[in-house]
Amino acid sequence: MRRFIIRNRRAITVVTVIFMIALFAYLIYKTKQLGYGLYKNNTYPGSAFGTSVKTTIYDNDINKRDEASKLVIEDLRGLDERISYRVEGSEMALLNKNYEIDGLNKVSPDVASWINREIEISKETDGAFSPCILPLTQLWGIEDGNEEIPEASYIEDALPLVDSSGLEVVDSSVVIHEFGMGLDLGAVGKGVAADIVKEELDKCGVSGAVVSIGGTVLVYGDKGDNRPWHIGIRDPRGGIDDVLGVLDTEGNTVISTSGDYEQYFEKDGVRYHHIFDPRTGYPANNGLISVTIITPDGFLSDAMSTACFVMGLKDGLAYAEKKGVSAIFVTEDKKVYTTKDINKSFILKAKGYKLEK
Amino acid sequence: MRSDDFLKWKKADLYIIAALLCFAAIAVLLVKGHKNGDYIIVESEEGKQQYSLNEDREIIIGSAEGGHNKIVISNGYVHMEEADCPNQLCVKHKPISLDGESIVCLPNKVYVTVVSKNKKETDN
Repeated sequence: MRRFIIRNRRAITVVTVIFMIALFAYLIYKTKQLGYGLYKNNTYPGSAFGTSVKTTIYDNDINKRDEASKLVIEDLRGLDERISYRVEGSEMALLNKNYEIDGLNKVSPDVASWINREIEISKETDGAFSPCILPLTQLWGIEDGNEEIPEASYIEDALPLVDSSGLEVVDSSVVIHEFGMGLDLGAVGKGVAADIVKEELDKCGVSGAVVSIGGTVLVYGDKGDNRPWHIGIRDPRGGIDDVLGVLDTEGNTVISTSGDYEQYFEKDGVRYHHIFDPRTGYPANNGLISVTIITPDGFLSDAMSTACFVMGLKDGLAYAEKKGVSAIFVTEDKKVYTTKDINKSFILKAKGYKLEK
Repeated sequence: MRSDDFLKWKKADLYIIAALLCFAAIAVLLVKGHKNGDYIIVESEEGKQQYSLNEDREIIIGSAEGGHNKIVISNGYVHMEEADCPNQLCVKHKPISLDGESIVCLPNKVYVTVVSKNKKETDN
């Protein structure tokens, strides 16, 4: 036995070294998997804006973690009550109910500025985005479970009402020129929420956080291991827990995704989803199944995910580049396009898709 | 062979074995507590409760308005076995076991969240 070891000592040394390297690699993997180096964190569930809200706070102080999560949910519920047109007594519901044609309808300054920014985006995108899409949303009723295609004449009638030229913001007032128009901050609500949450987290002074509000994710600060945030983008044709790919990004930033899988019905093999093209009155149908916009400005992230979805791949990508945001577009033939800046930070995971360079 | 060559090899041999044992000990220590402390938090209108992921069990939640959910812990995973909500999204969710993963039944306001030493690949 001794002789054997002595004779083969070089081989044994090599095998031992390989074994140690393997063990070392395993330790590194296990360390990452067990999250060593991360700040202590908790994940808190909740709901707001009619959707699931998940808040993860990274901070070694448990009181800060608990306190921050409570304030985040309170802020979200408070915003929901202020701007959701579905909430009786909300600013938007009252505005829609009581507005005077051509008169100055007063709203709070931040609501006025949000509506104003929406009008700007509407103009920049030649109407692909509308700040007053409510008549169409209500006509189709998809969010309420309606599965009938509205009469073409009713859709025609709604078109002038969703055109933003009938709308103006003057100081802290909204001027509405057409009877039957309806304002809806739904396309930017989650983005606005993300911005408000970011300010709250600044006040709380936590080290890092990830807050998911439906399809809008805010990443804030850092998690303690000197690595970027790894954000899963949902597979547009998979289940709620199926990932298209993982995007590496630094905080603070907001990642908003709009897709044709969120709310829809199908008839005769055609999918009717809830992202309407204000110019046609029908769900946008130009080959995209999801758009993700990444930018620190939450409002912009949310608004542009809707706008770019309606604009289609070519115009949408150009608009994203022009506005200096990062974007991921997924087409119905399962091709994934990104703005140049993130092409290397997005790792495709789902089968059947191809990442275009 | 020369006697001092023979001795040199013996010392290196011992160092290698010692290093190996150290690594093995560290590896065992890291892996050891890994599943033991894992648990789930179930939040609903009935309150907030913790359950260990190491014991198989069924948890039934029934709300005053008649909302009904059955949560099952099995083999270190938790999933929503049954629910009477219209969209069944919670039931369709695959079983979860990693830190921060959650299954939510929005209509019935039932939230199941995992607390585990094992992290998932994504942060959201």
